[in-house]
Amino acid sequence: MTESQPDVTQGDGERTVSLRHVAKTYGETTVLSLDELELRFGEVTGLVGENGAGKSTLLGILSGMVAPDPGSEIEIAGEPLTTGSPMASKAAGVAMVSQEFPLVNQLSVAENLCLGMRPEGARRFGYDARAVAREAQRMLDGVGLDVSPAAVVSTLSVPARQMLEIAKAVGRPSRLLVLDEPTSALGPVEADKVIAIARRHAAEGGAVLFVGHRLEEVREASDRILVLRNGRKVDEMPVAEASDDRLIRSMVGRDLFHAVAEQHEGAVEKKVVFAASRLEAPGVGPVDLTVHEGEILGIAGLMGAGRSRLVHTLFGGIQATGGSMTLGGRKYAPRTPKDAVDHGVALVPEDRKLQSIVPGSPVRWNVTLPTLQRIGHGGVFGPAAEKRRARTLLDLTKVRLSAMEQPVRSLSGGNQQRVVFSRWFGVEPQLLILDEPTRGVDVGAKADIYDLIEGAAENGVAVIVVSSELDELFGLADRIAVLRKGRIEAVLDRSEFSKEVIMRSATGVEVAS
Amino acid sequence: MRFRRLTEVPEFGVIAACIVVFIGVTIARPSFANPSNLQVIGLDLANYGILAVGVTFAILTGGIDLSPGSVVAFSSMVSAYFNANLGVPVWLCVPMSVVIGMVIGYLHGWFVTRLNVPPFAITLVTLTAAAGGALALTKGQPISGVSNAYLTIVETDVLGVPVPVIVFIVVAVAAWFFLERTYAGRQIYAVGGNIEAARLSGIPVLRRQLITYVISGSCAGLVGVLVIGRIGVGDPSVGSGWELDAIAAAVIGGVSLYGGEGRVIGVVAGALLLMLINNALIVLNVSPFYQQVALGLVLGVAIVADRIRAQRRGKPRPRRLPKSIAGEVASAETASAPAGSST
Repeated sequence: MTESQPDVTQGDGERTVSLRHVAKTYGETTVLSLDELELRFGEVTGLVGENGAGKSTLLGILSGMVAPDPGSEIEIAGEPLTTGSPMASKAAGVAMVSQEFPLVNQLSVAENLCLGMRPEGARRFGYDARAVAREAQRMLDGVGLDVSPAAVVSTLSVPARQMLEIAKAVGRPSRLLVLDEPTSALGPVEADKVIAIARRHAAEGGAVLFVGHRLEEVREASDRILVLRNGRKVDEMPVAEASDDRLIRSMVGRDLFHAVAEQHEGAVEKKVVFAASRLEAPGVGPVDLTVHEGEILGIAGLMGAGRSRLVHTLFGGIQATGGSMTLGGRKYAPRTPKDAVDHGVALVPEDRKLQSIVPGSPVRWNVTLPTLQRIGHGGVFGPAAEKRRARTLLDLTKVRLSAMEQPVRSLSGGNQQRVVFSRWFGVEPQLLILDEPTRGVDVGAKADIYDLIEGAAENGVAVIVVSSELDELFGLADRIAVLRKGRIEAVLDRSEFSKEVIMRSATGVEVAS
Repeated sequence: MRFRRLTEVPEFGVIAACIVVFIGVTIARPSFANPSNLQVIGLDLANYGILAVGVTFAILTGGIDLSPGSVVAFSSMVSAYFNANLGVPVWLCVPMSVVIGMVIGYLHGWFVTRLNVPPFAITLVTLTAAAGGALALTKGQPISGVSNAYLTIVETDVLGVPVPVIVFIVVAVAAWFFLERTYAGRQIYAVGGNIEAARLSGIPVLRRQLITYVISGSCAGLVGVLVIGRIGVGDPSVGSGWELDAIAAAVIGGVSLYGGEGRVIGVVAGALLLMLINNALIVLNVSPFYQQVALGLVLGVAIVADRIRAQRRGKPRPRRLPKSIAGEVASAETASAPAGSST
């Protein structure tokens, strides 16, 4: 279905970034094919689409990192842009905030912010550290990021780095600001800041392209929303018309997302699988926590609340410094992740690329990794037995078997995550810990992953889900524990779920009395 | 179709190159394929091949071992010294050489895993120190008068195959089995492929790293025994630069220096290719100075070929897509045709 929208494309060339016939093909596969696309100055344009819809390719072309096919034309305020050159894009005023932070970790905040430029008023020769620091402070203030310009980047938290990346882009004059999932590494408070920055940039007359995966945020940030699917623009609407239903239908191409889940009937009376009492670790605790058989316990909290730390303490990755844990009624004190796995505890970590997949290895290897000892005897296994085992495990999560010998990195985010779930189902865990299980997974695959999580709970596995998306927790969890500064601030039963209460507990803002 | 499948095997290029070089040189100089010359190639191959297989383990975990050449010199000198100068029986001195290599390897592993010293740095220390130690032992003099048993090991052959070649085959098969058929082997790949993922999968990451240095060191100690028999004396300057040939053989054979990728079959082929070329240059009367140039060129070609293959692998290849997704791509193609936007 070729959609043309003549009313939109007849815009004033002076005040738009317009793309005409922008396409990208690899071999015989077309990954992007846009007839017309327009980003207006003074407006935030939201862009949504599943993984593989062509978002990254489009951003790559705008930033000059990807050379589009010949015949593609991009004009910024009427001036043609030389495509395929990052320098040209930069010179034309395209500022890009990417998901991977191209920061030099060993350098300071100030040095990173001023990399490749001479601050105004700096000495003509040599390196003017004072001017650099001054300029950096200005840029930090611009995004409200409270770190010292002298701090070394490698000491910063992930959210702080994300904000730094934004400061770098926003701090230099630009005509088109491109934000690629700028909030995916951020908690709600910082996310609001980013949205405010996007709005401000538009208000000052710039164009903003806001790519997001949380529909709520995209709506909040944007004036207009574009939807990509299979490399083409399939829908475009003013934000007022952008309902969840319409967006998702456009993104997925079919109706999906029959509400996350039905309610689980009270799992509360079942036996306790895991309990922590007065558990302490660096930055965590003391924490008291119980999870029952077949129960899904949600953990909410802001970035830096210690969610991942808590989870890694349960998994033996971080040593507990106090308190005790029990698993299946017996004392449980994992010293290493290996101990945890041996006890039937599984962890799907937060960062799939860095912490869970072995990207260059085949899917088969990835799936059998922690449970090789179940294939053969005495440390030796045969290839046929391994294939059989991998097939069984992949079947559990419906990964297509033809992918078994492909490197994992060639799969989509959703399928990679399924491979990771398969891997951990192989452990037959008593306790399954999930840290942001649907991060970087497209909408269609999300629903499947929810099904997997619920399926595990139905089989009696105790599940802990950490998530930044409250809707996800509301859909999945039987109870939600809210973490703040490493402590559990509140535990809510299903009947008490409320965004307001959770946000109050998470931010520590007192309930009005 | 079948041929295409064959070319997909990462080691295809090296193996094909071995065959081409062998046939080509044999046509030019039939004496190249004489049994006596093949035995010489085999003896060289045993030395370099064993080192290459050993160093492959370290590289697979994302590490490196720069010490094998120096460890060969040091362990062979100590072994020869004990045998010739102190009269320790040869059946003790042979394992002694291997044990020395093993201990040095263990120390490397200890520093890498406990103190987090970069493998490049700690093995560089040994590269220098062990070579110096070998020279210091006898103030640079070779040790003559070693037991004839050393020579017998090297000069004996079984059905025309020299014993060192058999040793090499045993080492290679053992390495293959370890890497492809045991938990620990698979876990070594995982450590090199993504150390954090490996750790969070319950793999004893440090132990896996440590063992690779022990294996590499032991292989060097084993070669230490073979070189004594080859030269007939304990030579303190032997082995200099061999580590680079060993690493080159691994890389030519498709072992990724980033870790996590590469197979023993490729390493064996890589070492064989280097030895064939070295020997061919001698047979063809090419100046020895050009041998280094040739080695460098082969290495360069292998690396470039590997990158090209990796790049092709990274891009979608519609023709070779599995059936299940080929349909999707086809529909995407037809869908994009009417738009005609790209051309």
